[in-house]
Amino acid sequence: MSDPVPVERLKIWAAAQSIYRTMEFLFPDAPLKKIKPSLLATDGISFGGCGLLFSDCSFLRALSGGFALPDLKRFLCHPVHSVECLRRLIRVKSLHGLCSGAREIRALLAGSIEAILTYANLHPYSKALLSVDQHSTIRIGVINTPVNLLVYFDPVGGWKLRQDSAKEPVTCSLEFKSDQVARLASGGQLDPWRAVADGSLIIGGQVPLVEKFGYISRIVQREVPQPR
Amino acid sequence: MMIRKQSEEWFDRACSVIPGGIYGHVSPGSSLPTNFPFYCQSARGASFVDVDGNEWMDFMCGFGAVLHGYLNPRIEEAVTEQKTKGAIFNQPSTQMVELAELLVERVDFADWAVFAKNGSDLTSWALRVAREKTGREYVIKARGSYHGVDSWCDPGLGGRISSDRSHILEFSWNNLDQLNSLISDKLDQVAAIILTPYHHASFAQSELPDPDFWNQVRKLAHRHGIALILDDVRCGGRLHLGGSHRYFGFSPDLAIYSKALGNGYAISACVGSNEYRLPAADVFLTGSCWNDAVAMSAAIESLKISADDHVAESVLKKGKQFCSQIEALARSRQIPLQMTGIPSMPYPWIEGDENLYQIQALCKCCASQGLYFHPHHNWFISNAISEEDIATSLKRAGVAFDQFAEMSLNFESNG
Repeated sequence: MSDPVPVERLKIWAAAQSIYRTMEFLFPDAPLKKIKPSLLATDGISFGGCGLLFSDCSFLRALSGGFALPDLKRFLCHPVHSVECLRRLIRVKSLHGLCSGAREIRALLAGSIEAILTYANLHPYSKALLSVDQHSTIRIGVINTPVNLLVYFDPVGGWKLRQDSAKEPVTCSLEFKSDQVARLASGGQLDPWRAVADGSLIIGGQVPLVEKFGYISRIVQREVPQPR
Repeated sequence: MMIRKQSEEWFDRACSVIPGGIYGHVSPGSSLPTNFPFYCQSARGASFVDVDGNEWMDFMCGFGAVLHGYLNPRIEEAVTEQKTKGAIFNQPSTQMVELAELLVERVDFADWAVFAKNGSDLTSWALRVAREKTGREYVIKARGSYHGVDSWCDPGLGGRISSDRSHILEFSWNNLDQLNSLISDKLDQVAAIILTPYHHASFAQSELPDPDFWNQVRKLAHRHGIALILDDVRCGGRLHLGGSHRYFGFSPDLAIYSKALGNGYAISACVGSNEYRLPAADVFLTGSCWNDAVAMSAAIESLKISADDHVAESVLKKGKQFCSQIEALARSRQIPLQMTGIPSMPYPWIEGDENLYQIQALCKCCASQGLYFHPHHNWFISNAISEEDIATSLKRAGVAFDQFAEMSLNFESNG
């Protein structure tokens, strides 16, 4: 299970995890160690251990589209790594603007889901909500595309996400009608009630679990800034 | 496929002015959002017409609020007559006294009755009466059971604070050991045990009480000075004329009725024994329209019809006939459908379908034939349903089951 993160810093951690997961799906062959986020003890988040480091405040500002400087000393000590890291962060950010293609959509969805799972693992109320569902699995995908993700519980690491073959039975499923709907959902711009009613979002299986997952996603949407 | 244009247009309008468009147990996401209609136009007897003009054979009865059929002539006549005199006054109407007398006469353990509008109004109030009587704080309920929309019990997720449920304890239905240990752990601190007559949770098959369950619960409550509250909101009038406790052979201290009580007119009642009369008088109870003489007139007539037409026996009989035939119909197509719970309000369950995909697919096929079969909630058999209606429904179900069986075969062969 993930290390405890103070509740007040959870949004920063969830945003960083979300970015990392997006990068993982976007650049499956890239060495991920170099961009893995870690939360500093009191203030700051670094990507890749050395190099790119932001204070909590700067990171939030950067996500919200404002001007934010990384820690210059570390940046200058590891310029190559820092620039590479920054380049990828900018690429993730640009995905939220416009993206097409299965790989991009999958990466965007994976990033949003990762933020939800961070809350499912660390946010007290969200964690409690899913405490009875640890044997459950949720499939999230886009109809008629290879985008199929599986949310499952790992006794060691908590709630996790992986690419799915869409073959094994699941407890419940959420399927987006199109890439466009999936992109709106990833950006928190989809009205889930309307989408369910008009068939843009198809839910199946154990609906109460879908409702819990949806509820946590709305907490995340409220609290965690999305890259703009 | 049913036409849904009007439903969709109205829902679209609703989304602009109503959070979520439609909320609660009738929200589209709780059922079959692209198969069931969103809005209803009219209903009569055992069928209804949606806003697109599609006619449906109804097996939900306004989620249980209608027992004698939509627009039952006797009830409508009583309502029309009362409407000429008015509904809400400064003082209660004499209907309130008449209705209380009728309930006290009808329910064997009842010495008094009070009224509100919804089941939830009075399940929550009954807990407070139990707390007033016992001076204790804790309440025990069965896990997964529905008792209303208040923060101590609602099935939603939002708007909660940690203290909302800090005095609510839960046990698994029929698990007397768990119940015993909850009581022992909080010795002399439990005010009430609140239970439905049998376990009719949503998204799960219904569970009947084990043969000795109610006897043991009654004994435990009595031994420990705990109020036994029967939430008969959903079952009331559908199992036994005198209340569902009679069907299972026990006696609660307080019982709450609603749904079928007014046959579609909003009213709920709590009845209790003399022991609880004074505490009941001390727990404040009121609501803007709770003395509604129209709904009380409907309830009086509804109770009279229940006695005159032996409605509980009738819906049990009709339900039994329907359930056994629909099970046989499914069996003949290798669909392991079981109608669980009590036949007058059966819950459909397909063996091995814990995640509900099969029942959802089956109910979608049925919806295409104009059958309002809910995949996640117990159904309700209306007393207005005729033999002919049942035969028609079964015929349509046969077509739907064929579609479903074919779909399953295709799915299997295509992986």
